[in-house]
Amino acid sequence: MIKVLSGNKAAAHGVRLAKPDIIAVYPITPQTPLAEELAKFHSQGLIDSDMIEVEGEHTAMSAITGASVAGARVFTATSSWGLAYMNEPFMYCAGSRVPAVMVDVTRETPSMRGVGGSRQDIMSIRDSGWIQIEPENCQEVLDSVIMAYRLAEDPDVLFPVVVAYDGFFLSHQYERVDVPEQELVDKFLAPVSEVKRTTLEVGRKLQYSVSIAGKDFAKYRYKTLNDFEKVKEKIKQVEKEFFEIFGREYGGMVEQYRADDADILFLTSGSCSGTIKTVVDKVREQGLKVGLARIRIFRPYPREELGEIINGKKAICVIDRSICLGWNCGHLYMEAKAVLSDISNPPKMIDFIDGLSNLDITIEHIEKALAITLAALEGKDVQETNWLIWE
Amino acid sequence: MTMNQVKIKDLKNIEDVISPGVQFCPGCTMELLARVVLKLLGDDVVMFGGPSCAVFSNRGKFAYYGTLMTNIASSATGVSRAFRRQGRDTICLALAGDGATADIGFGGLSAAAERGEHILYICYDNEAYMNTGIQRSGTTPFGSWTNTTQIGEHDRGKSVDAKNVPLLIAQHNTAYTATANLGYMQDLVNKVLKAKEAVKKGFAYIHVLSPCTVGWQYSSDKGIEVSKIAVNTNYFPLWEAEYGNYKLTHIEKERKPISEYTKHIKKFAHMTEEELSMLQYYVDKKYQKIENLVDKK
Repeated sequence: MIKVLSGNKAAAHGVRLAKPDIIAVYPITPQTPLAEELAKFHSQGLIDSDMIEVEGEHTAMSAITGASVAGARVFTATSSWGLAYMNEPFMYCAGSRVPAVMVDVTRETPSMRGVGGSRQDIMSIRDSGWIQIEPENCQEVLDSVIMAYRLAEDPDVLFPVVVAYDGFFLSHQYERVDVPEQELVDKFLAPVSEVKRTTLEVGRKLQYSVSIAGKDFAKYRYKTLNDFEKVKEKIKQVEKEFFEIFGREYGGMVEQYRADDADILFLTSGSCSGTIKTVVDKVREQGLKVGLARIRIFRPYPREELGEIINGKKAICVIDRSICLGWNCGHLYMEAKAVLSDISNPPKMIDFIDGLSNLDITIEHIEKALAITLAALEGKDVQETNWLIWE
Repeated sequence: MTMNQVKIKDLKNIEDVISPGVQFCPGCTMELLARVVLKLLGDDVVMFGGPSCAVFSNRGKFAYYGTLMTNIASSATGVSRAFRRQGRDTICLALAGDGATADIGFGGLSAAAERGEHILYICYDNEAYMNTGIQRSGTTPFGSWTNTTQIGEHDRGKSVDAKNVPLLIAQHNTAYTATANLGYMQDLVNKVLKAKEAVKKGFAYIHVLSPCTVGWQYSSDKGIEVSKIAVNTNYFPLWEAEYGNYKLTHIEKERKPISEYTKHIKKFAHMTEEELSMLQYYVDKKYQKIENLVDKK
């Protein structure tokens, strides 16, 4: 059914269709409309989930972890400080390989008045062991939530998944969304819905606790590291299954837009990709070979895939919505830079910080970034990291 | 044997599911408490515990869920909800120390009590962070020495009195809240059995004084005696509350002075008469408060 939905409402529909047993959400801007939409669904009988009215994000994460260990399908959602506040059980959830699913509506964190979109919050949990999906639009928000369950609960995966979409730019932006039929979602999730996980089942004296140390712990972390790598293959499979049922696809871990023959590639993630696509189309008409690589799965990092995409390109123009202190650049740049040493023909790479604290990443800004990149290719002296707001 | 009433002499006939050779200190009162509680709750139990002396993973034949220090009640909430959705009434038993209960996990505990989660939460109160080496907690009493409230020229032990956690929990209008003491074992057994029933209706909480031979510094064979004197001095009154209806389950005809209690315990040894009279004031005040809450009819 076609509906006009905000990112938050699209996420709520994704949750409704995935039919979690337990939901525990504590409201925080800009996630709040999602929490309210779920409460509305519950009041109308559209979802049958047990709603735990928690007193904070720490309990939200602790409770869904517990419920998942007991075999339930679970959901929570948060933003910025809420993500920071739940950090302790958040780490524990991933460390224990609990297949929870959550949404983070991304937002600034460094000051109390930072009630603006950015990707700073989600970057703080890069190494936690959560799979990170970063949608571009409201349709992809809904689809990603459904895919998140298929991925997290897969017996070969068993890692939690966070769908991190841009605060305000996606959470409050209304778009045309195709809301799938329940039957199709049930079919898509059947492979994991029918799996019987190891849980605290009746009559079994299971001791659920990662209380191992020394060599055993090192072994356990070695296995975790390797298993997290295997997620990359599973993502491809899940995307394929999703396409077969719903007819939509997002290109796996990295979406490529007019990237094949491009000399210059934009590299970004999240909602500003739409703006960049518009610029790509515009400059293509002028004969410039420009494209976009959008990082859709940030964890595990698409190291191999991105390496193949950027190898041999002339320049990579990174648009970052968060800052990586100590590296004098954004996070997307910092991580992509590490890929350069993997490849035979590394391109020039320039970083552009923009869109912090709800500031717009405009067409003009993107064009400015492209102009600076072109200047760099012409041999002009260009800074490694540029701030588009005053460039 | 009906489980609604168990005489303490019958406890020995119930299987002990905790391994015989667990590495607790000699005379550990928490160990005794854990053994008795598990005997009384039966087979369908999951125990929750944080990083503390009471980590029971690999220490017995019962289901165990290891949590963080902060989220014992919150984790049990999730498991309990999932169980109830699956049609299971497995008892979710939290066994937590005073640090996790009164301090760092208090918010989650309070919220679980407020929501009326089906959790049986037992706090073994040894009045400090003992597992990490005797640091003060919210239930450390006035004047008490700990490694973070030391005795010196400038400091005289803990400068404020303990937080009255059981009273605070009872004020959440819980299905059941009680204090219990290993020196009054039959009373404790009765209360665990009452809590076992109450948890079917909502949140059940028992606060047990759990003297720690290492942290309090008394002779390790005196744990039960010290527990008893805590009751005889009204330092640790025994009471219970069902949905806000309070009842004393033991009344001292004439309470002993607090010095009768503190003289056995080295953590109080430095206290002057003046300081002891301050502690006495706190004890009497606290008792009066409970007395006033009791329904006189």
